Amino acid sequence: MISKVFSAALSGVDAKIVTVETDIAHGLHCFNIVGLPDKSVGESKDRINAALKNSGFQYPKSTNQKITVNLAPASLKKEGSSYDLPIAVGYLIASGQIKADVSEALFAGELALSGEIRPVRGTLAIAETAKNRGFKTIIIPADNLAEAKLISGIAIIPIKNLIECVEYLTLNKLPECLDSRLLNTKHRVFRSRESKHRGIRLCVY
Amino acid sequence: MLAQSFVSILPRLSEKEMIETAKIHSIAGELESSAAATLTRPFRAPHHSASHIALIGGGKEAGPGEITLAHNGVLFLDEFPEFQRNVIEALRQPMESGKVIVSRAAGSFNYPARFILVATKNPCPCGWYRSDQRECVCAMTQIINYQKKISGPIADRIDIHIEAQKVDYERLASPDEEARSMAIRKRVERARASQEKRFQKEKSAHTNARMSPRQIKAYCPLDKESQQTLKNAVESLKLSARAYHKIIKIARTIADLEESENIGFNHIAEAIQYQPRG
Repeated sequence: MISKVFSAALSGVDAKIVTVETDIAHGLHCFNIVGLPDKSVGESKDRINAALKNSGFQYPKSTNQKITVNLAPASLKKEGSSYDLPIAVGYLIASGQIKADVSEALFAGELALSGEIRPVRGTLAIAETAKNRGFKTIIIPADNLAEAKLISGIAIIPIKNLIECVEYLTLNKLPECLDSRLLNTKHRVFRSRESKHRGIRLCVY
Repeated sequence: MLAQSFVSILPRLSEKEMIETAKIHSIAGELESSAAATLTRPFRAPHHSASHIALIGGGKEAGPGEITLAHNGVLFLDEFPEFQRNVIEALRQPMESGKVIVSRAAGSFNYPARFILVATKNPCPCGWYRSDQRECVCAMTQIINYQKKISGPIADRIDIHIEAQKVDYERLASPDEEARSMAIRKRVERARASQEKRFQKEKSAHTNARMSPRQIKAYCPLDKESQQTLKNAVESLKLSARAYHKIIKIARTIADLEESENIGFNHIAEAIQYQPRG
């Protein structure tokens, strides 16, 4: 099965949309990331394996599958650890472990081995590009919330770990840190029925 | 100390400026998550051993340099002549255009770099040349070599040159400096507001400093007396075309700070005072 998840690459002071395609085929275990990844992107394989395992999911090394991840456009050099989260989500969808519509969401985040999400660079530029390119939601590390919320008109979902991300995608359950942190800072949580992700969504105005 | 307190009299960041600044710092990985919403104008003070790559930008990933991190804020270069010559000269284009294009194998990136440069220097290596307090012990060749480190084109691009005077003990010890900064900031914000009003139809300029020669002609009419003073100054001080425009822009700003509609003779005369002395 194949899945398509969106992320972004930093280029100067702006961000460019990157499509993370994940394909899972039968065969001997093999986990490849293509699309000009640098060392830090290549290393994400090991982080993803451990993070998925420690979050209670089936992980690439546990099955005999040939997994290919393509970061498109393949001509753009990719660096940094912010592709951990989109690749992990792509794997979960491609392997049929979760069902979610992620066509209007953009992901960025570094995984810790425990499944926690670590902050990444350039979240503000990523949020701005996502908004300009018509994305409805961005899912980012909770630690990057303060900078991302400078951009208005896009729903921002700050997550602390992989489980929170999956719960949001499948059950529309909002991450814990949202209510407490954001309600204090005059941002509103409201219900939206129009969008594809039904349920409660956070919009930052 | 003076340079550091400079930030406190600058107008607050507009929303657009705040996002621009936060974006740059976020990409450089220097934005503290809690600081994002309460961002003040950046104040960057690199040490004089900084390389031109550290200042302009570059490296393997063609990342932003100090001038880009100082965008919408202040770049403070203490002991300006002690910087390497190529570092000082590399500032020429960014000072003029407010941006810098960094080209490396990783790609070519256009970084914004509209900063206020504040630089300090001593009059000579020992620091007492032309002082009435103490005698200078430097040889004339030392003094000339020291002053030559700041090239003509760079000095020409610096709008205001001021010789700092010794501060009296009474003022050093006075406690109300912060209150004064607030009062000055109010004046600065008023002057900025009148500039915004002036340039509301223009796309390229929002402040006096960014006026093009055409806009200077349109927005800064000079009376006969001012024109004559300016003409004399240009001829006797052998000023460049850039310096000529600079003086009018500074005079316009002085007039704005005094909330005066037109540029007067006294404004032009004061602006001429801020040109470098040979």
